Amino acid sequence: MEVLPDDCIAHILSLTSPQDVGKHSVISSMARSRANSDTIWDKFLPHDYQQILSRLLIPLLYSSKKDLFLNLCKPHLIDQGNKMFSIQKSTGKICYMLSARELSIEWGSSPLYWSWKPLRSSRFAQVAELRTISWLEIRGSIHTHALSPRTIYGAYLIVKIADRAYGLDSLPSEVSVEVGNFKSKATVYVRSPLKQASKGNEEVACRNREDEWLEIELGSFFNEGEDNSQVRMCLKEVKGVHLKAGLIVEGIEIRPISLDQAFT
Amino acid sequence: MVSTMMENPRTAWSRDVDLLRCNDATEILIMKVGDVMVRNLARGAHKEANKHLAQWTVLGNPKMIKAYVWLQTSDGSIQQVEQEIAMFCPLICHEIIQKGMGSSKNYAICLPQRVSPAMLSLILDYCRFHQVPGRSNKERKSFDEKFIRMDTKRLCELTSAADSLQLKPLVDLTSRALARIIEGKTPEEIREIFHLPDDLTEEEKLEPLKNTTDDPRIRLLNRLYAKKRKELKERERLKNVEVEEEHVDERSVDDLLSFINGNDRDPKEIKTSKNRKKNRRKKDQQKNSFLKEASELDKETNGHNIRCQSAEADTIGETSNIRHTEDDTFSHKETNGHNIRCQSADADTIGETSNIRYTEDDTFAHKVEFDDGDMDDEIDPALQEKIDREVADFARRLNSDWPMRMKEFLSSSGQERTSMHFPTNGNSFLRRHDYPFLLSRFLSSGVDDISSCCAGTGLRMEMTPYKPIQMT
Repeated sequence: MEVLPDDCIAHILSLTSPQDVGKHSVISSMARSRANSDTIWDKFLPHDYQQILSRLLIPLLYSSKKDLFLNLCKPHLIDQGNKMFSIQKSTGKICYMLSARELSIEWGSSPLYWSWKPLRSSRFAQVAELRTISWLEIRGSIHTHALSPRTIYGAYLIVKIADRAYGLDSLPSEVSVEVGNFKSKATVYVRSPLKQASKGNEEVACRNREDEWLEIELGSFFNEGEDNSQVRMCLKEVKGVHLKAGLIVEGIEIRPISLDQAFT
Repeated sequence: MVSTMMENPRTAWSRDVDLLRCNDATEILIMKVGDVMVRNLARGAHKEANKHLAQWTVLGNPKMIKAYVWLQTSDGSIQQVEQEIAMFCPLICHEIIQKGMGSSKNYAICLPQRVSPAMLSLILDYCRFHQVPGRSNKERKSFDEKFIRMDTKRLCELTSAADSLQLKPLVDLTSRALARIIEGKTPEEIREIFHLPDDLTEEEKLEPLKNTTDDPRIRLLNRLYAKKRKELKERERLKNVEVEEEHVDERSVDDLLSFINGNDRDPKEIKTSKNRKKNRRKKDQQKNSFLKEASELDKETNGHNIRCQSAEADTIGETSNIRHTEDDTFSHKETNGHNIRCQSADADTIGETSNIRYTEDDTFAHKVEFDDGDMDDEIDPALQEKIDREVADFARRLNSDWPMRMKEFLSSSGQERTSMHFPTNGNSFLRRHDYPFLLSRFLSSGVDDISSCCAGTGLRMEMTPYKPIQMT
């Protein structure tokens, strides 16, 4: 390996993954200096990272590109705190979480139906809690050029189901994701996974996350990254006229998923 | 052979053909064409003969029509290579066109040192295949795949040689192959494959940051790392590791005991209002910031928000958490606990295992409870007695248990947490990565700060209202 010049090795390492480069840095002292070079980590960073840094709520200090990469792996508030940005450590791909304020929730501005309040377990300034409504429709959108190209993404609605919830799972809700010509549709029952398990062998659409929230899979899509289109994600339950209540919405998360995850 | 010559103008043809002959390959060609030519000549068909001669010229005497360049490899040997093929390499191309080298043996192009004869032949094989324009992409791809099937050492040499000749397509091909080899392997495996030395010491694997931005935080962290390194060296020098650690323990325990027993100070001393206010402010800060970020399991925010007593310690918290996350994922598991320890000078001396985190939980779960609201109250005598008893009890427990426990932890350094049998208070919801902070603060700043640091993290400790003691 020593026969290779440094820039060759840098090129080779940049073709592997951030994880591999990290492992490389504990191999030997020479390997470590090579693995920490800025040229490699620059390739792992999103190409428009300067612009992203300028939009962060709290400016980020970093000492090297590797440092910056590792910093960005943690979620950061961006765009005046309306979104959260992070990159996946293993691949360097971009993840976004849109806050509830960024979404368009039908009748969301009416205090009769939705109440907005800060919640301890959410990083955003406010989450939306459903007081009671019969027309449940939550929409979110994001531009594809903000996401990493040539990646499969999954969209998830991050919610909690309050104790006082009712009517959410009387009828299945429709979820959909639309990008350009592609549209995916599905139906899910908005109920806690515990209840779901007892009810039988339906698909578990509401999953527990590591934080205390549930996520409802809205769909997945492949981001070409070529043209700039809008990804439109939606959950709605408008067919039933019954009242629903008790859904706490933190936001929508868009993150890269693996191929097998996309097809389950 | 052109033996069937006739003594007439036709013989001139064959003689010419003879003259044009250069070597074996050409000979065969001439023989083939020449025979036909001679036959035609014999038949008197000059036109036909001409045609064949023309054909032969066009097909090319490979050596006459095609130019050759002379290349000299690293070992000094010089060889002739078809110009067309050699020109595929930008470096050779440059040498021929710009400098006019390579036309003869004396003016052979000196190839870079990294190009050995074996590598050169490989590269020429590659060039020979790819410079032919008529190949389909599929053909090229399958050739490439077969081409790079060689052992890793040769692959490295080939990459190096191709890079020096600036043959980018080949460099890309070999780089990708090497990247595929590296992907997903553990450091040991990579060391084996590429014969790299394992010359990083244990502490170097902790990755002290290079201080490129002259950030005081990073400088401080490096200083702490240096201190840790020194300490590790000391430990290695002494044969009895356990004894060394015990000394370390006792020192800190002594501090603790002296503090608790009231050496040179009155444990019942009431805090001055100034300190009280300072602590309260700090507490509130911690509480607020903690509440805000409570849901954020991120280790970074934890580090940011827990305010340590000095600005120094504060910054250590931040950067060490960053480092911790990094090492957590990328480096050995052993290094997991290492960085968290560097909270303060004292924490450094305590020990190196991640077990410390769990000790802390248990230690604090003893009969120590703080009531935030009572900071400003006076203690009445009856209560004071109770407090004294509690303190004495606590001190006793600490005194008896601590060195033994510390020894246990440190002797099992590097392992995962050992099961401790401390009675745990079910109330504590302190999170794992808070422990080192608490421990360090506890030991460095004394019991008077337990309230502030525990309050900030929401830990309820069972103890009757306890007046914080001022540390002078």
